[in-house]
Amino acid sequence: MNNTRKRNFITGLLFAAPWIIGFILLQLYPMASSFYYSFTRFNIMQSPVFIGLDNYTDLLSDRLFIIAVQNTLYMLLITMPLTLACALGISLLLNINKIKGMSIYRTIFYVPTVVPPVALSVLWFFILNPRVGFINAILGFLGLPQPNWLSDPAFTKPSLILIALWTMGNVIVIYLASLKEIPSTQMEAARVDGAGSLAMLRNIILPWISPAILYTLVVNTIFYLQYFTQAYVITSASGNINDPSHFGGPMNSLNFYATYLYHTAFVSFRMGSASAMAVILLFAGGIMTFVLFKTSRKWVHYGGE
Amino acid sequence: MKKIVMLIVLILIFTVVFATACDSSKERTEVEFWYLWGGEEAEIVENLIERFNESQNEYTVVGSSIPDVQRILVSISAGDGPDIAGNFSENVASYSDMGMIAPLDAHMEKDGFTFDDFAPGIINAVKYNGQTMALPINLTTFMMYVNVDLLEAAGVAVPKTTEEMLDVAIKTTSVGADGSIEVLGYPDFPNVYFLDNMTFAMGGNFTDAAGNYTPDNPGTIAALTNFAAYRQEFGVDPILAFTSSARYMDPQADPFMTGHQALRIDGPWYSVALNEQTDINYVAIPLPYPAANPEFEKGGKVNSSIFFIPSNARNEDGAWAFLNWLHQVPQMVEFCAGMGNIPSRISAWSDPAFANAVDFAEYTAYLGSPNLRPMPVTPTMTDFTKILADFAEYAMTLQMSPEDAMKAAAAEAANIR
Repeated sequence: MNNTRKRNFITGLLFAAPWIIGFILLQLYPMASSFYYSFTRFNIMQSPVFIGLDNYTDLLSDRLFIIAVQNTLYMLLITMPLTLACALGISLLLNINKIKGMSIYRTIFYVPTVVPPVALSVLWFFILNPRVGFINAILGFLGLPQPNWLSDPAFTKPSLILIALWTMGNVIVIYLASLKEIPSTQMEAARVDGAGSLAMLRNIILPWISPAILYTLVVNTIFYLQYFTQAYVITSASGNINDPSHFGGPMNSLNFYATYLYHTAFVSFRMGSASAMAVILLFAGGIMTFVLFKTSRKWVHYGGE
Repeated sequence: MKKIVMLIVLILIFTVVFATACDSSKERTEVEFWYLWGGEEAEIVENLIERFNESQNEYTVVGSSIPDVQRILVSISAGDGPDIAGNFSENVASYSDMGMIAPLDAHMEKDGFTFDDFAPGIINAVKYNGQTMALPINLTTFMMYVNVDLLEAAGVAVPKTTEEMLDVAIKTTSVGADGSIEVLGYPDFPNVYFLDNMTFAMGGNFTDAAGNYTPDNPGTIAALTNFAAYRQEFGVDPILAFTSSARYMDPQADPFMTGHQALRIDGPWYSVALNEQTDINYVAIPLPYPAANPEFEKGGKVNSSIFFIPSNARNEDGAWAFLNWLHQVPQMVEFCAGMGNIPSRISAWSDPAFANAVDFAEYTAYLGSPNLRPMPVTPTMTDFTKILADFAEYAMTLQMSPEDAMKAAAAEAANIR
């Protein structure tokens, strides 16, 4: 390395130093600590005791951990695809320029995303009230059954789907921006060639917006793996009284991975077990993201290629 | 002569300077006190702190209202916590087991502080492995609130036994034309207050003599059986629709406060709220007992708000000085009278400050019962109560029999480590 390159290297390093120091202190060190604690019995106040893989093996027989994984998978495999599909459908509708007042519709769909998650969850707690809530009022008007949304375990996660659908405005904005990138010439050429709407969707629209779909898939996968606020707030509000034994909602149907991790760490103070859960979550997120990127070579098309 | 005068003046100056120096070495040290109360209740605590600070010149207590227990615990564990922390007696064992709490025995012995005057039921709840880990400022037990007008309209008397409770609940329940519950007869709301209290009221306990968890004890099973019988009568879904629409202590949406609940289990603070915010015609009575077991009469749970000194407190002596002062009768009276609480010192019960306290006579008469018990003092109580609540839910939603549900709870509780 000659002097100029060396100087450039040091200068670059100095410019990057604030981030590097921040990363080491605020991310790498806590991650490494968590990894170490995951092999220990540790309650914060006393020194950690090395116990090997016990925390990991214990989780396999932990009833609440298994429920938390199942509930989180429900959100990943049902709520996330449903939300993204609905967002795509609405984006396609909003992309039709002929509809009058389109900017108003776009605003309406985006506004709920600016509501803070805690306020949003409290709002939905009232909307889903089985006796005086807005949703059941409509269902009652239509002569349909009115479920106990937040106290019947069969309806608690569908309630969260409703909340997720209401807040999909940010995904809609991303899809809309991507849809605007599609050259009108391609669409017109396809139309002239007699392509139907489905054929155009499959062969032109989806390939064009596939980078945006990949992005939303990755971001939402991570979001649902860490799903916490809505479940925590709704469970707390439903319980009325702050009682840790009632976390997880009816029949633990709102016990998600992140909420159980929080409970294990900060209510039960089993930091070793919580660290093991955090490590598993990190690897699960990493593997899912890796798989998405790996498979994306087959279905994501950049720059209309 | 002039030299002698100069010498005397110099000695005087030296004495004054030395005395001042000695005095300045006794600067007041700060004691951080984090308590859970907010609003008007926090003002009562702050007034007491102010009085303590004026009363002596060694310590300055600095109070902070921090209603988030988790935040307090995490701060303590990070070495950045207070010198005194507020909490509840149920948690004393687990925090002690974690090494979070400093024992108080040495301080108590030094200052002659004893529990002679304290209600006997609560003393064991603040001890762990024979050591005193916290001081109880008040006593909390739960009574049954009865809406007298609803019972009169249904033509039934105030219940004394659990069998009568179920009968009264069924007769006072009102169902609308669409099948929805309009008046809830049973103390099904708030659900979280039912099982602990009724287990003790029905003669049960959550641990055996060896300290093993016993969720399948006869008292818990009897309490769940009684609960399930009511839900079988009116259906789980209509009751859940009713209870999940209710809001605790909200005068507009709390069913007892709006006259839509006949029987209710709640604590002394509820009497204050009922009297201040409603004109409901009610009586507070001891929890019912099984007719076949009159020896269980006036049974139930007792617990307490407690204060402890964290093991890593920076000013342990100052913390003890304040705790000792706060738990003397005059201060305890001021604290509890302001909060609507029952003092943990029995001699404080006769203080004129409580002469007009709502339901105070009923609560103190009940608190004298030997059948009141605290939750077992075990370090894994948090995990146990979660298991208990989970499996009780199976019985309460009629998915399992109380016996099977509690048997399953016992099997899982046996694996708690």
